[in-house]
Amino acid sequence: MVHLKKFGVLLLLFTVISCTIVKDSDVTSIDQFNKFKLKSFEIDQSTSSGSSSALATLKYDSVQNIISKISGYHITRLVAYSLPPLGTKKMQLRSETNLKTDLLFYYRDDGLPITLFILAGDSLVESYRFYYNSLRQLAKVVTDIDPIDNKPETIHYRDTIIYPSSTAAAAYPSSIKRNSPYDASMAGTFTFTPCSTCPSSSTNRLSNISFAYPSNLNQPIFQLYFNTGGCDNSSEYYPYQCGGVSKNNSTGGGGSSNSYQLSFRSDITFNKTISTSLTSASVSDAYYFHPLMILKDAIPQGSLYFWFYSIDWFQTTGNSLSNSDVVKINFNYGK
Amino acid sequence: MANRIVLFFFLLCSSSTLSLAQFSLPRIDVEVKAHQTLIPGDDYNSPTSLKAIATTNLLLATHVQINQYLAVGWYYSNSFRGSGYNTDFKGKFWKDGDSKAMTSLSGPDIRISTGRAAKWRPYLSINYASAQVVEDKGSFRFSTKLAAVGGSIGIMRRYGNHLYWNVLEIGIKQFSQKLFWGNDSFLIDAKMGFTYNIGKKK
Repeated sequence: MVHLKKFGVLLLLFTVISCTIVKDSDVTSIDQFNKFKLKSFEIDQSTSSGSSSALATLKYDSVQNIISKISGYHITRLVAYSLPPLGTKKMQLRSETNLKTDLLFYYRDDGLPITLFILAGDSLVESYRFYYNSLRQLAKVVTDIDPIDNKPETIHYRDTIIYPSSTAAAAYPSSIKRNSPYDASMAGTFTFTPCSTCPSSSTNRLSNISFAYPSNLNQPIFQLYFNTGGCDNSSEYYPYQCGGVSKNNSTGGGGSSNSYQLSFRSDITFNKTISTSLTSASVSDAYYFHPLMILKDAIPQGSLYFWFYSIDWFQTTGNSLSNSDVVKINFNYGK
Repeated sequence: MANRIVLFFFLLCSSSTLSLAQFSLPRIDVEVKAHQTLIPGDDYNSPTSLKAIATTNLLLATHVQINQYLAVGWYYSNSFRGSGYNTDFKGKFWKDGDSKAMTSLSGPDIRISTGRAAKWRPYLSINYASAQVVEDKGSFRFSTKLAAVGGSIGIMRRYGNHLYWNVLEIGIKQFSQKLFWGNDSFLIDAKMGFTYNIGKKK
């Protein structure tokens, strides 16, 4: 009977310690997860010159009822995040503002983001405006970079996005025309070439994007190519979830010295990006913060535009994947 | 449901133990094992990024030996380390994943000895589990509670009348449904550890 008691004690012990590891706050269904909102995002920089982390926290998420004087859109939501100084290691603001900033995202009544203002104190240092066509496709992006300290506005891009058909939602645009009054070398046309010989797993992808000046559209200045970028599998469920971009200059002699490479990898679950890692080829590259890093889930075809604006924005200068400097953006969701 | 199974199992063990106690002392063993689990996730063509969950657990178990060949008992296994793999896995159990993960398994177990050799003793195990799986993504956690049924095959080496070394036990369990953030519904596991026989010969 001694053994019987021992067994009973053991059984009781096992029953007691069979406690749950599931918490009430856990996500237990997709519906529950779909209701989650972005509460903060963290920019982790791991570079050869050191590491740093900046946590952008939600300041407020407010209901609005405003008609935009610029776009005419009905603004119904304003979300603000407080972003600490990013430093000068890798990820920087395009205005090179190295101060605490506020990021103000405005959304129209159908949930699409229409404006991002970046403010340093009371100075508007960066502004990004998004316009959509009647099919809810991104139709225009207007970018203004206006550093503080009485410096003149440095960038004004007006990107007009043209789709091949106006009656049905095309998979990808056919071209983007950029107007750039402050820097004529950046004004031109990006022509999108659909992928015609891709394997079935890569259908609906682009072959390349070429950039040419308006004066000579048949003479591309450079091409952008999507590649595997060191990813194990390029046929992900989400287009452009993981891969690389190479920028091949057509002028200046060509060759490998003018082929620049960037790679990225996103962890996406149920249409929410959990993290995005960016790796450029050179330790001297700067990653400029672009709102599509944060908004690519909210903007239709956001992954494509994230890819496009990545290389357009980052100005990468290396041509191999040997660099281990990584910027990782972690997205934190909650109720 | 789990509580009812616990109660049923308790009554079963108690009644069988009590009836056996009329004639002889019950023979009981306890087990301590390292328990490696693997839940395969989905491939790349999926709305979820989960490729695999791998956890290393501590497993505790006890069995009452009905006769020389049959033992019934209860086991409990809980994680002390684990990872979720969201970008790639490729069998890298000990490589840190993209997230933390935990599993907990608990339930009745029937062990059938398939040999009575002096040293090496193979055995089969059939078990039910009340399973819990958690993947911690940092700002939130995916979790689910499931039932699982499975079996395993193993071999133990005898060291005297009390101590046994469970050299390797491998098994598979089928979950009652898929993980809602993954797309597979089974668990593969391997166990290694020791069994100590409190009673007489095993």
